[in-house]
Amino acid sequence: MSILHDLFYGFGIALHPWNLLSCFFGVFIGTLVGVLPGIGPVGAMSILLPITFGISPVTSIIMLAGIYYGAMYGGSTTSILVNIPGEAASVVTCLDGHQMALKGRAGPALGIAAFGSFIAGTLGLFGLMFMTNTLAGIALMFGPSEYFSLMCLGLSLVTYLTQGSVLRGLVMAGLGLFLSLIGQDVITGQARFSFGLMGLIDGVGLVPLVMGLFGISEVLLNLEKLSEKREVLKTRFRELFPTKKDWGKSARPIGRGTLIGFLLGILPGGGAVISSFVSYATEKRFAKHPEEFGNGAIEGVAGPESANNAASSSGFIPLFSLGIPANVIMALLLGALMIHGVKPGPLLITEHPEIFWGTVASMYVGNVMLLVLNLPLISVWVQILKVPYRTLFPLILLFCFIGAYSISANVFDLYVMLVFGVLGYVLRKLSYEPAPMVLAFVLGPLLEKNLRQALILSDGSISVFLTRPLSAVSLLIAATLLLSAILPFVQKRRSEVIAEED
Amino acid sequence: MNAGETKVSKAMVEKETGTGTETGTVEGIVWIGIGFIICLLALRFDLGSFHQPGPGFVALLSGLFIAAMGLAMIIARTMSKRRRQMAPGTDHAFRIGAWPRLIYTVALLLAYVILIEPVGFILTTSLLMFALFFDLEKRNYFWSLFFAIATALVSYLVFEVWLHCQLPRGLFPWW
Repeated sequence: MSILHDLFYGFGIALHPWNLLSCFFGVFIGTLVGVLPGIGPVGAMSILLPITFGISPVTSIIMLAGIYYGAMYGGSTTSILVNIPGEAASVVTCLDGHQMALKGRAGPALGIAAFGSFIAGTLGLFGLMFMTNTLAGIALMFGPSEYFSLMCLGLSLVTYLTQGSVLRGLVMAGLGLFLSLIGQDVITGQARFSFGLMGLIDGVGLVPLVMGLFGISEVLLNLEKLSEKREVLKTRFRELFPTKKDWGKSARPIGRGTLIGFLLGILPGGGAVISSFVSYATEKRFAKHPEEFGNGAIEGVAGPESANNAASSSGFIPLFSLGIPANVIMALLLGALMIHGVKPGPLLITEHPEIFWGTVASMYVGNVMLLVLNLPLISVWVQILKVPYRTLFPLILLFCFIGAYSISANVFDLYVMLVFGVLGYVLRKLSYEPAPMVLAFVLGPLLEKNLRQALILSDGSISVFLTRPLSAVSLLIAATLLLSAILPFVQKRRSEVIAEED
Repeated sequence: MNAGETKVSKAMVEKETGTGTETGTVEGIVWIGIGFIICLLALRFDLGSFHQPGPGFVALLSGLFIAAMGLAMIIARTMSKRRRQMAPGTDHAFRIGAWPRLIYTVALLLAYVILIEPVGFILTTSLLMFALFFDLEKRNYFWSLFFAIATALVSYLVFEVWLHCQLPRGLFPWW
């Protein structure tokens, strides 16, 4: 009953006109960036982050969260109609979604993606409500050693699950950790690694760094493909509703996708992308006719699309209960909360119930808004898809510059963004993923503080990380994951698993 | 992952799910060098002790970690039997065809950053937008100029007037 009471309290906040507007703006922008290839939710959130400085924390989190789960909905449209993923979590939807569209079944594909997303997103929110409360209660018993070990586990998982080489991911995490140390020392206040530059005394800004790594570098990468033309398949609103047979085939994949997405979304480093791939592989394994996968199986759309939306809901659990972001998007939300003077963690729900319950309730409202936005307005998104990238990329660059500059009206941030833009381009060209770097950058100050506090409290004994059960288990899992990824025979087995999926 | 304008095929998805240890000797050496530099920088600060870690403590650990990963890359490369397949992808990384537009765009962005404060937002943005909208193949001056000025003015109205962001005024302090 208490949860129901709190949820009603949350709806009272979410239905405030200003918050409703903020939610709509968030899900609209989210759908837009989901639909448009070339800019993802991370870029859009970092561009809009400075705008949120002038509004209340709950309103800003409602908007930023809306961009995140809105992008999950929008991404499927581009995957199905153009065979280009609007954002990373929709890559796998291209396989069967576009095949369905080629066979004249774009409507049911879009419909089941939207309905599956809605069901999974809503069910994921139930889990979010119950688990955050429970986990926050447990987290109150955590000390610095537990926090340090949990953050190490989070970074290891991000690195393990990220695309490409694990060693490269680890290097990125190390680099992100070092970058986070630039600026004042968290304990002594001493300025570090500023190289005499005034702009670095307060450290490298999160927004210029993220905009550079994800916004500018994405544009630079896409410059190579300016001449490519998109062929957008047509569909109409009345064709969007799946048939009874479609529902029969999709019900179980939606259920399984929701469960997979929810569980993987909680894990640090899991998130929407991984869960969509796992869901696809699971559906293929469970299917009576696996040969239909890749040729327009509706299960291949329903499962992954449900999974990425459930993951986008459960991804909030570690942030709201432990104060540890599970992925880059949550890291941005953590940054946004901290800018507003709100410290996410076990005390968030008791100290700022309006933020937690307001955001949760707004996500229910946002999911309904998204269903309305994505189905009747499908023709609008199709028109937007026809805008060529050569027209869009100057605008994306401009928004990045305005976003980075408006944080502190300091041109130094623009230089930082440009440097990280070029660095991000080079790193991504060399198959280095920026996600571990950003997550380590955000977690860096917390990681350093907790490590140093744990050592001071234990009188310099490193064994404190191994004698406390949760800390020891976290470190053990982290070490096992990393070692297993590096060992050659595990590497070989992983390649075989991928080959089997073929 | 670049989710941009890339047609998706089955093979591509499989490639994206793969996590290999494709590492090279050169990049290993580079990371050892970077880790070594970070360690040297960290040593300029008080490292403290395990009882009382100082400001340079974690920085030293991060430098050592990066260097260790660089070393692991070299070892993994040396141990790998599939050397031919293990090249770090630099052969396809910097295609010549992309260079002119890339350098052109980065140079424009750098010029924009340098000029935005002394010249001001509206004029610099108009020039940047014109240069970016101007299609090297179609060479349509009029529409490029029209869209550039319109973009600069609309973004000024939205961000400066409506959202009260402080954009640089430069040569026109009354704006």
